[in-house]
Amino acid sequence: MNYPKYDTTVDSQTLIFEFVSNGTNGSIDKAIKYECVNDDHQIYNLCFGDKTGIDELTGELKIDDIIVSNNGDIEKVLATVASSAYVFSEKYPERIIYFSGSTASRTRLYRKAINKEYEEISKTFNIFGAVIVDGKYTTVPFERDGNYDGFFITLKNEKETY
Amino acid sequence: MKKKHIDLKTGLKFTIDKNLDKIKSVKTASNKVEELKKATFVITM
Repeated sequence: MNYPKYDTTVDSQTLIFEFVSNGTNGSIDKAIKYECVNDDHQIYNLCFGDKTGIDELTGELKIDDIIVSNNGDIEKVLATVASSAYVFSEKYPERIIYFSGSTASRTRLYRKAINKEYEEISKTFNIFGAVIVDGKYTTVPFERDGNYDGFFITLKNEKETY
Repeated sequence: MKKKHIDLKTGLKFTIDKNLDKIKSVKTASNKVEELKKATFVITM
């Protein structure tokens, strides 16, 4: 995790992170939101993209996770997002994080990023692939060349870390 | 001046801003969250 990262702003519950990407296309507001999608398993989806606004009446944060920013800072952005997962998990060690790209190619990009930093990430997290089987999001062992619909990560117990 | 924190494991710098506490939900362009909230999960770890 020795990549440069953007400074972030966080809510008091450590569920929302905001930062500004500064690159070749200018300054772009980014937002990360850990949103509970399954109470029983305590699964939180890592929502990430360009922040497009907040509905002041409902408190709904709007994120464009489809847009391609091409701001020339992908490593710094991904390092910032990955770091937020560490901070979130330190606060909520029992929760499961789910993430995927908004497209299959983005999900493959995330798999490549995991592969690149696998040894470092796996010191802290258990990593699983997610595949949709009969319409159900199912955990499978993570393999470097696996084809996944997304990923689950959980914080390792202290006994598991080294 | 708000205090800047540093996560010791990653070096991520973050400042807590209670103005963000007004955010209660999220809407993504891909509608992924809505899809996941309806989904069934089979978790084996």
